[in-house]
Amino acid sequence: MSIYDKQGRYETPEAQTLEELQAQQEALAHLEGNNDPSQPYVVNMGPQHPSTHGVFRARLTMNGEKVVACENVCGYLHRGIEKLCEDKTWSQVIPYTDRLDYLSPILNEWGYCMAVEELLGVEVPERGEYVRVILGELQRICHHLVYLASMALDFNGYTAWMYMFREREKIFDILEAYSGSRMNNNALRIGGAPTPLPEGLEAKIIKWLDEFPEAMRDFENVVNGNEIFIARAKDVGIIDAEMCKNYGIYGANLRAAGVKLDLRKDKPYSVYDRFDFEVPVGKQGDSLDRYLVRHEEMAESAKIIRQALEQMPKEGPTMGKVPKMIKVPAGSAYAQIEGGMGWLGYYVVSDGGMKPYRVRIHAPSMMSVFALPDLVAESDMFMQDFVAALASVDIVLGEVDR
Amino acid sequence: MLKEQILNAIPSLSAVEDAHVSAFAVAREDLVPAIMELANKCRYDALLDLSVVEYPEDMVGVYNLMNLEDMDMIRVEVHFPKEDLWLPSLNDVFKASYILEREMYDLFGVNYKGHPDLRRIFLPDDFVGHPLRKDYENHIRH
Amino acid sequence: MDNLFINIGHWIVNLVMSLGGSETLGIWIMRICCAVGILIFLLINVIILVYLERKISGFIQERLGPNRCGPFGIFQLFMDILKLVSKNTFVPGAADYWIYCLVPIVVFIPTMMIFGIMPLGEGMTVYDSPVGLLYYFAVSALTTLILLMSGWAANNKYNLMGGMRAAAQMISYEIPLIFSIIGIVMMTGSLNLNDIVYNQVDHGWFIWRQPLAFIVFSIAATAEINRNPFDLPEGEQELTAGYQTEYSGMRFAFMYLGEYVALFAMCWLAAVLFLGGWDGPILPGWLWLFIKSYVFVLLNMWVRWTFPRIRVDHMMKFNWKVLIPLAIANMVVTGVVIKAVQFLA
Repeated sequence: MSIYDKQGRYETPEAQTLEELQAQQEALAHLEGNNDPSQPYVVNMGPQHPSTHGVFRARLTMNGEKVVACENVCGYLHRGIEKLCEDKTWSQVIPYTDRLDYLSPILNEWGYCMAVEELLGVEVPERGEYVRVILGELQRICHHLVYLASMALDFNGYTAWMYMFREREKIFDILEAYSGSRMNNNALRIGGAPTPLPEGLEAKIIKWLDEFPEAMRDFENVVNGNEIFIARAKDVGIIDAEMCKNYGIYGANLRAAGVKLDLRKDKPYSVYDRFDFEVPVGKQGDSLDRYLVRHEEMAESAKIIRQALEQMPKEGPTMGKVPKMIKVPAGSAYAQIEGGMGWLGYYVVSDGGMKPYRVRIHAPSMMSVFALPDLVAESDMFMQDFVAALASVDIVLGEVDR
Repeated sequence: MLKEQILNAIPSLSAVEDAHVSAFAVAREDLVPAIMELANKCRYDALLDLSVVEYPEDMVGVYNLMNLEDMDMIRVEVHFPKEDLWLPSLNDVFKASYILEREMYDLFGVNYKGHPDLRRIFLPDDFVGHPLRKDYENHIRH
Repeated sequence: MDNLFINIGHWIVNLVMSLGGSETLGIWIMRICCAVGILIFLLINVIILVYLERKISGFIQERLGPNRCGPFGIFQLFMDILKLVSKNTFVPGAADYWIYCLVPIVVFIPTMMIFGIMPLGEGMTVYDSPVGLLYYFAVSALTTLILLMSGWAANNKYNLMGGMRAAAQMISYEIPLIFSIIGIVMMTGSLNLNDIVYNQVDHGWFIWRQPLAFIVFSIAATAEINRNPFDLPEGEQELTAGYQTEYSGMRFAFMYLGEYVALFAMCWLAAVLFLGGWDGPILPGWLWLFIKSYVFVLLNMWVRWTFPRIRVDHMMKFNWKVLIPLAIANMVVTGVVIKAVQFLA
């Protein structure tokens, strides 16, 4: 097949005729429930826009400052990771999962490893599980920090953004000490974690944990108590529990709607059943609740890390018995973890070979972002509210587009 | 909920051997009523994931459902031939299926009957081919 | 020291007269020198302001701010301007060419004109107008038109939205801004800015005598110059850059500098109206005025780096339901008190 052959090549799109454009204008002018004589117009918010958190495009139909309708256009970051995985060996897939939700790579790896381990029937040693929990929770805090920061930034709170990124850098130092890289860590392996925590890292984590509450107070002072922030976030973009379940939104966004449902608590994987932590819930599922839930979750994660450090066995292996060349028995398994944005699921199919037959990645943020068009249609939103809602549902385009 | 209980409650389902999770197969004509009953009767009302897997002999639509009360996970499979690529859309049961089915249409070319707006989602509208199919040549330059 | 600039002015007039010119010619040449001097002063000031903004945001956000280019990064802005100059000047295809190109040129003019009537120190007013305040608001309202021009001309929806927001916001907030000052005008009995300062020198600063007016004025002024939390016309997170979206290169630099000049002009007015102008011990009057206006600038920067942006409907509600009633109440109370004092005396 030559590169000019038809597969995958783009055919020339047909030019839009004047009649079509006029018909579009007509259709816009007669939108339902629009008694205004003013003419709606279309704004392309994205792909390059400061508050779409990546290359995401929302085609907004606006009436003045009000958003009347929204259409999501995504795929600008589509790299075909599911297809790429089929060409790699089982363990080579792990770095690719890093690039999904690039804000919480370790959680992505964890989900994939869990799915493969289930197929392999490998038991992860206790110490390895603890290392995973510590790294995973650090990563979750990291992810939530970026979420809070970017939400604050979408309200033009630069200072909060800086404070949170400063804290994130400190976590990166810890993750770097373990895995060798700040982001896209490739820290976990199928069968456990490659090494125990290196010497001195425990002390470093504890030192950071001691400093963290003060940083949390900083965040509270600069954002949570701010009158303008509350006025803008409250009652904006309400996704209630019913809607969440209908749209397949689980995880922190569902908890913000008042449903106490956390995979770590309700269906504990790894060693989460040994920790004592609270599951913060919101009231009605508006932007403010989604923000506050994540804010509180960071404190809970810090609690888990502290307990894990205490409970972690000092001796023993961190890797289960996994052969050098992994051959996974035929079958399929669905593993899901409480990811940074919701329930991150991996459906892994094996045909008994060296490579995955199919890796299906269920992206939680994709579900949230595609609830937005209906949210816009139902509620009366200003463009600024749309920005707030988009920021608060937490999207990472690496994961939405895969 | 036990596998047998589900099988008794919904006769259109048939059991599938699986070491990890209770799995069921269903004919594609019965898919929507079966999922509806699973949601209503057996409280498997959380659509965790919807995907398609292409096996050498046929295609399989895979639905991972969860019961949020006892956090039990099941899998429903729908086998359908490669020559006749369609599945009924779950749009009336879960709104979540809107986006997942669009994705599967984009990457596999499966037509979901009853889907309100079946368009490509990741790839451009004028893209030719469905990249997750096994017969897709993925070593050519685009 | 106190009369440094006045002496320079007299020296210019005397120089012209000694060279054989008439006194009128001398005064006019002095006025031209004043205009050039003010222009240079404003531009240098903008450099200081931008540097301050960066350093202060760095201070508030616990980072260093610019520190690479020159000692303490003081040449950062020059490098930025160098970069902007080196960029291609570009006009979007669908833009209204003349208006688009006109905006960066005229964006300075209203604020420049304002400094013509502003007291820069005791006896240091280029044109001592009897209706200085009226002139100030008449001229500064032109800024709205310029922002609307840039919003319309670029033919970009973000620009247009920014321009419309600017028009709505600035026209609305002009009302509480002016109403809050009417109390001062009533107490002084003059629209002349010098008279207002002399009144303050005699009877105490207006920040103590008109505290409510001061609060209303500072909020409305922040909105008037489009600074956070009222920077809706720029609204980076919604409108990318609002009315400046389509401007690049040197044109963008001029818009950017124009904003800072407007900020400085507003702070200068606040210092004249509420902080007693050049009133102060030891230091010369013009330096006091400079310091006082910088107090307002710093206050403004502090607010900017602390608050998130307000929503567009809240902004309007806040104006019409809070600020304007407060300003009117202040006006009424001031009037009643003045009459009562007159009656008792």
